[in-house]
Amino acid sequence: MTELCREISDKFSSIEATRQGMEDLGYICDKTIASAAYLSHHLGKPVLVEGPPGVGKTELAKTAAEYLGRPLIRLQCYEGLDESRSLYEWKYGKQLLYTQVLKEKINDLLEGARGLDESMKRLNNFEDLFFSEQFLEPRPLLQALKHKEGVVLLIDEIDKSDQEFEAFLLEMLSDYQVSIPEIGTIRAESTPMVFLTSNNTRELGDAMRRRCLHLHIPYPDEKQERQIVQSRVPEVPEKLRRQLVSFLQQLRTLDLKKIPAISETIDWARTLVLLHTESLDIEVVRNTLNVVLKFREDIETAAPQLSRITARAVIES
Amino acid sequence: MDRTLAQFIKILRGSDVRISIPEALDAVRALHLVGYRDRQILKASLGQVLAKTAREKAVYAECFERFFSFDSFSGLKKETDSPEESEKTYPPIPPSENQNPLIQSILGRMLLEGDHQGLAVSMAEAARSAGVSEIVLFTQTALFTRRILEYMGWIELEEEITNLEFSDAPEGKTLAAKLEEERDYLLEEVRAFVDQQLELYSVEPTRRIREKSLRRIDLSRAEHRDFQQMQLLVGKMARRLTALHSRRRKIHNRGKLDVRRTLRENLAYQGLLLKPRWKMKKRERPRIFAVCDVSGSVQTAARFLLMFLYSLNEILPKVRSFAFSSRLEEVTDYFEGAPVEEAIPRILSACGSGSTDYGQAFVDFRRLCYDRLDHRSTVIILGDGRSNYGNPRVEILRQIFERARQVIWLNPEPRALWSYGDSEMNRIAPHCHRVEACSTLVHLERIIGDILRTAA
Repeated sequence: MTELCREISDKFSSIEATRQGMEDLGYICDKTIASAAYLSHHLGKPVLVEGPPGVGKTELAKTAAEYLGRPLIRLQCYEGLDESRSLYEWKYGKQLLYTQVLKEKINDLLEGARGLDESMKRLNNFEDLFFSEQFLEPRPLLQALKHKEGVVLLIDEIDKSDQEFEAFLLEMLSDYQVSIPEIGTIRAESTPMVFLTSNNTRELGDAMRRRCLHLHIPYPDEKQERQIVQSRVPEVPEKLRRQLVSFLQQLRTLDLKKIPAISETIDWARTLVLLHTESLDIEVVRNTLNVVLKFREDIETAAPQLSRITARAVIES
Repeated sequence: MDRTLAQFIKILRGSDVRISIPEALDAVRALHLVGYRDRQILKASLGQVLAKTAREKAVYAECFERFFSFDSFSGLKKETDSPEESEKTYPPIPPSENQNPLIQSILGRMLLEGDHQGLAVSMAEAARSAGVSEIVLFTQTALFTRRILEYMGWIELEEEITNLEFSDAPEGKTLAAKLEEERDYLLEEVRAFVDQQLELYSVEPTRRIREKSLRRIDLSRAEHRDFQQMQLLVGKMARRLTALHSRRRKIHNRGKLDVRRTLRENLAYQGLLLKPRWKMKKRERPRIFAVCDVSGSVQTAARFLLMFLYSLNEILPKVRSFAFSSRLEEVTDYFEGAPVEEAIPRILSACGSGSTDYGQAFVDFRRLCYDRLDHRSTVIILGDGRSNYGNPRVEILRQIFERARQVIWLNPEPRALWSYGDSEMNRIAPHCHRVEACSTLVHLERIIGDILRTAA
């Protein structure tokens, strides 16, 4: 146990070490992102990650879990998510069985008891099993708290959940504990590392923001994006990689409905590898553009600019 | 707590970044972890702890750049190569061999040697002793510059220059001239530094005082140059109201079974009542019909009311706005798509000519949307109730009153003036659910807040 702790604190000995470690796992990040993971570990605070879709918010949590060698527990948020699906649920079936069993055994228990009063006294002496941890079905949040060695908990797209659920999370995020009315308060066995992601479809409350560290991941710059492509799709030749990244960087400056993110870059790189493309040309771009741009309008907006952008991408690299 | 960090947090708060005490404590811990060594990491780390929204991040970045800038004295000629070391662990000035024995004061020595780091540290210390973070007004710059210079050893420096000029040493005169030159440079740097500090620290108190007074200023007397600031304030208010009221609350009526829904939902279980459904009340957002008088007499006030309507449009999806002076027109479309500073002048020029005619306005209103009014509608009328002795047609107002959920009349004039001259407020008041004097932003906020709260 202590060895594990030491190993983990070694991994977070400095921001640079954290960055390097994550890079070795294929997650290219800058100092800002590394410092978020570093601070989260040392301050014991959850990290709220915001940024446009597809820049690697979820990936950060996955990488952190892999880096720490801890299991990742993921809770996907959606409208109507409540505590019975996120925290715990009673095992109704078993509870029913239990009452059946109890019914049969009750005569043995109460044998010899005279009057109602005495029967009640005897019953009270028994532990209340009906609402006990045995009948508790742990859902992701409770699983994360009860895990012995600590986990990485990913609460994905918190902005999709209701405001009530957000309020319910506050206790969990500030003290790493939850209250179950029938049982009491359950504390975390060891502090989990928590990541929350948000796409800002709804403005999150101040109380939530105060409890978290806040990390904003923007689109990567050209150099960083090249590194990411290299680490994720190593089959892409150097020349094509430069062209591809330069193309996307230019594409992002256009007025698009959905700006292509890193995930699109990677998809496109994979597509080009499959097509055995050596170098970008306008024909290839036209045929594969739908991998990068997902809306009809966007493709129409980009169409007249394509030859210019392609030419520039080819010249620049 | 670290002095520097405390000051930085003070500045951030002044620039409207909300930082709670636990967050400040987190910042201290984060600072312990990362230190001042790497500027980029420091910026990233403190940013994650202190600034929690995109807007705050932008403000934070700007403040950070201004606060943690160590470029003072960078123009100083470097004569000795000072070792590159981080600001915190800078050792006391090492006595160099080519030290001129004639120069006794530390300040003079640092100036001649071009020790810009030493000077910056000394200035920072002097600034702290002089209490520069208390600076509020630009008239204080001279005072603080003087104080900082004194703490840095200005007087000794002056004495030294005089001594050198009259000394017998051969190089005395040249040295004195050189020192004088450096002294002027020092003065300039310190003055620039104080100016920068003024910019940093004075933002908050000045702004707070201004905002406070603007909130209480009579709307019809607001000056043109205040408009921009008022607009920001109105926007802020609207945002706060949104945060309070944007949720639709459902109130569960505990214990009352909704028989119809229960039966319907349990059909799937062969009519066994497995899932009971309870009755609940939904609180609906009010549907607002806002009617605004924009004739000459109330135009300044109307400008703010329109501004507020514009912001309200963003909070509540179903606001319909109307403006009138002699005839009434719907202006909802003006608000959509156009920024507020364009929309309002356009409305004023479209509807603002002519003298007020409440009778005609009510007739038009009835024609346009009488049949849209129902038990959920709130009608807000903004006007001074002065109809130029024309018939205000209060009977139409009565019809509206009977049909809508509530009719609220906001009057920019104080109550005392309501019964004088051509004011029809006494005839109007019985046909409204509420009549309020509304002449400042504070009033406006209170009333709109009430409307949103009571609209159940």
